[in-house]
Formats: sequence, structure tokens, C-alpha cells
Amino acid sequence: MSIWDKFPNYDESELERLVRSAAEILADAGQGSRVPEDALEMSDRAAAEEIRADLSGVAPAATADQVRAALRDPEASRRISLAALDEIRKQPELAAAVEAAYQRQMRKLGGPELLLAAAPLLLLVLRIESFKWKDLQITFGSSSDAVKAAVAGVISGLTGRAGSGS
Amino acid sequence: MARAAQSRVADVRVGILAYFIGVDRLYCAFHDPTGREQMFPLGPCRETLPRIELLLEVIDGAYSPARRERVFEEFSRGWGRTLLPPPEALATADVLVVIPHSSLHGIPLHAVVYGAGEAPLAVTHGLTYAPSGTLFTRCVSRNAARRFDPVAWRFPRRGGDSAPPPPRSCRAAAVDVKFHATGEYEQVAHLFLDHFEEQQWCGAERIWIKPRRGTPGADVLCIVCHGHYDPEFPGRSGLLLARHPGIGAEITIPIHYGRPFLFRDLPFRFFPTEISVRPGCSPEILTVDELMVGASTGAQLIALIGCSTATGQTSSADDFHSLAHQFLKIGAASVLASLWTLDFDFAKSWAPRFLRQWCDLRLPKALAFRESIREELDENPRPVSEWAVPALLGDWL
Repeated sequence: MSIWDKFPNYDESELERLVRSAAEILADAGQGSRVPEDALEMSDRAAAEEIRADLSGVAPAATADQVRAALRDPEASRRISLAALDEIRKQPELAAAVEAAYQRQMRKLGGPELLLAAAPLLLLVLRIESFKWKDLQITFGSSSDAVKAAVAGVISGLTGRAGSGS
Repeated sequence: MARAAQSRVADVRVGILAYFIGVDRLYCAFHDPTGREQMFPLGPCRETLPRIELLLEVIDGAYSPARRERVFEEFSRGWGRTLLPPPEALATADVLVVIPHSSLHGIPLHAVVYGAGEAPLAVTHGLTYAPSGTLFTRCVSRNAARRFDPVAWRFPRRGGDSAPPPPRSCRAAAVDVKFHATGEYEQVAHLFLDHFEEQQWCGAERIWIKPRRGTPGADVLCIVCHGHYDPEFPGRSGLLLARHPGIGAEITIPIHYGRPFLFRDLPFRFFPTEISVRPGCSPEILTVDELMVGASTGAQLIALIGCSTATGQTSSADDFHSLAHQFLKIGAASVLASLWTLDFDFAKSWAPRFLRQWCDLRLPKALAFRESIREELDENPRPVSEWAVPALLGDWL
């Protein structure tokens, strides 16, 4: 059974590994584009700054702190990750590459944990417009719009929740 | 097929590579098998140290897979050669004991492709790492294998030879706290266990394997599990184990007039929150810090089959903190451990080759390691990032 067959019903461990695998594949694919070379190593604060700039069209009032809070909140981070993964699974070749990377990760006896792996994945999905994968040209333009809308919704929900609680 | 020529342990030629990072350049003092010392100036610091830093970042898990592979390849087939004396000097030795300095700790010199044969050092030489000359001497002096006459010890062993029998007892444990591969991990642990007469199996869910001071231990200890490296606090790195039920083990300590008190031997840190664990598992972590307290072992070999079990950091006085090094400090003669992320399929394929060479053919550990890597690469060529992960530390015999 493919890991994509379970979408979106992943347990915490599966989601963490899938997000990490997707981020690593996109980081390699996106070299030379607008993706920072250290995308996988960025602190969540630096990633939030970058992501906020990309969200300015759909969520002009969102601050870097709000983006960061969304990426640190387990439920919000899960929704953001699933939105990004949803776009990836629509590209069969890319989905297969991510699945292969996921299976390779499963065969490692440990390995570095990507804290807040959602941040690099989100940044990569937003920044990579198109890339060549094997013999195919994969275009991500509309995908990033869908993900931006999803993230804006999550941030707005979090902000509303914080506001109603105060 | 022609039978391999036999050698005697007494005839194994052992050289020592002792490194020193100077103000302007790196140096390597090569003590050849006759005891003669030659000092080789290596690359300038301003070129070499940034390369080492990048390699260490990759070893710590930074960057994407393709970039990591590039960095490993550039080291293995390129600038890594600048860290070694000329091939003709090293050709005088069968076994090399590497004593690194400062940021050279943890650098996989055995991965460097070297000399006319274009083979990695791991295939041309037996190689072992020791964090310091002092600790290496201690590993040698405590190694039970050295009680056997090195003139009588011939290898590879044939029927009727006087090579010593393999160590007698083995304690093994295996658990996968993250996914559901405990059964597969147990198979690798049993590869070890099955080579020894006295077998102590720790089971999958009742693992608390800290070797206690004063209690008789096994000759060989094999643990197959996930490893965790904490770059911020290396002492909090450890083995991801499990225990059911509850946390910590009970120990009895005589306090007053022989009256015993029962204590919980609590772990030194809580299980890392960033690591997700499979449902139903009660994970615990055995850390480097914890091994510093109340632990000792007399094992001839400790095999830590997990990720990053030899990854660490240099502390004061050029001491090096890692799980593997801590096991050497508490008494192990030798440790097999991983310099970075270990691929399970590689471990499964390579471990039986090492055991055959060491236990069945009775090669010294460093030569058993060399032969096992040679066989593995002949049959299953792999990228450097996979095959160069394991390393032998401590005594080579």
C-alpha cells in the first residue's frame, strides 16, 4: 500500500517522515530557483519571515510571528503540511519520488529530526514555481496559490481564536 | 579455490596516525610499524578546516540528500586525500590506528579513496579510531583477547589451528521505538547472539541495558535500535530504547549497616519530544551522560547498530563526547558504531560478514572490518554515504 493511500489519515510519525521526505526532494529539485540554499536548516523564525513575504498577496496583515505561531501549533502545522502534501500528491511522478524517499527514511536507524519540518516544506512549495523532474517539467504555480489560501485560512483561524480568548 | 595464506597476530604490522591541527596547517605524525616517527605537513588550515566543517555539518544531517552525497563524494575521492600521508608510507602497515585532533574527530578517513588501486582506505587497511593515545592504551591493556599468545594465533582459522575461540558470552537487544520494524532489528541482533555460546537476550520491550559497575557483564554487547544525536547537548545523545512497564530500572544500594535501599535509576533526560514514537511503546533514552555514572563494562566488543552512535563533539582537552567513545571510557576494548545515519539494509548485509571474519575465521577486529567492507562493496556497490557509516573504535585486535 502506498503511503499516499492513507492521505490525510497519518499518525504523527508518518506525517513527520512524509513531510521531511517531501521537503528533501523539493530542496534538491528546487536548487537554482528562488529557494534559499539552506531551506532545510533555516530556523523557524527565519522561515516565517520568508513565508510571510510570500503570503502578502493573500494575507497582507499576517505577521511573521503569526506565521511562526501557526507552524509551531501542532494542529495548525498539521493542516498546513497536509495542504502542501495534497498538492504534491497531485503530481504522480513527484509523489512517487517522495514515496521512495519516505521508504528510504523508514530504513534508517535514527537520523536527524527536522524540527518544524512543515516550515521548510511550506517555503519550498511556495517558492518553487516549476522544475524538471527526470524528463518531466512539473509546474507548481497554481499549487502554491492553493497552499497560500490554506495557510491564510489557518492563520486567520488562529488569530481569531487568540482574539476571542483575550 | 586456493586457500588464503595464514598470518600470525604477532606479525600484523601496526602503524599510528596521530593528528595535530597547528596554527597554519594540519600535521600527521606517522609512527610506522618499526616505531619510527615521520611528521607529514598536510593541507593549510584556511583551506582544510572549512571543508572539514562542511563535512561535519553533513554528518550531523544538514542539507538535502543530493547535496550530502556530493559532499561525501568530494571528500572521499578528492580533498580527503590531503588528510593522509603518502601511500608509500602507509603501505608499510596492515593496521592503522587513527588518533584525531580537534575537529578531525568523527571524520571518516576510512572512506578516502587512496593510492594506485583507487580503493578506499577501509579496504586497503584495517583501521581503528581512538580519541587519544591514552585511551587507546587503556583499550589495549584491558582487552581479554590479548591474553592469548599472539605467536600462536593464526588467521584465517582452519580446523586444528590454535587461534583462540571467539568470546564466550553475548548480550543483545533490539527495539524500534519509531516504527514497527522491531522484528527485523531482532534478526540483526540474533546474528550477533547466534555466534556465541552463552546468549543473553534482552527482549524487545524490556530493555534497560546500562552496564552496571560491579556486575558481571557479557564479552560482547549488541544493541540494534535508533540512535539520537543532540548537537546542542552531546551528552544528551543516546540510544532510543524501551521499557515496559514504567520508567527506569530499580537498583539496590546498601546505605547503612548492610541495610539495602531500593532506588529508581531514572534516565538522565526525558525522551526527546521531537521524536515521534509508535503507538503502544514506552520509550526511554540511554544517554552519554548516564553512562558516565555508575556504569562499567569489560566487553571485548560493543556493537551499537543505530544511527550516529559515534557522532559527537570535542570538549575540553580534546576529549570527545559520543556514545561509542563513552563505552570505551567505561571499559570496552572496542566499539563498532556509526559515524552518521545508518541504513538498516546495509547493516543487515554487512554485519554477518564482519561476524564471520571475526568469530569464525578469527581475524583481528580491524582486519575483519576491512574484509567485511571489501566483500560488501564487491557484491553490493553502495554510495559512500551508506557504506562508510560504521567504524571501529578502540583496540584493533
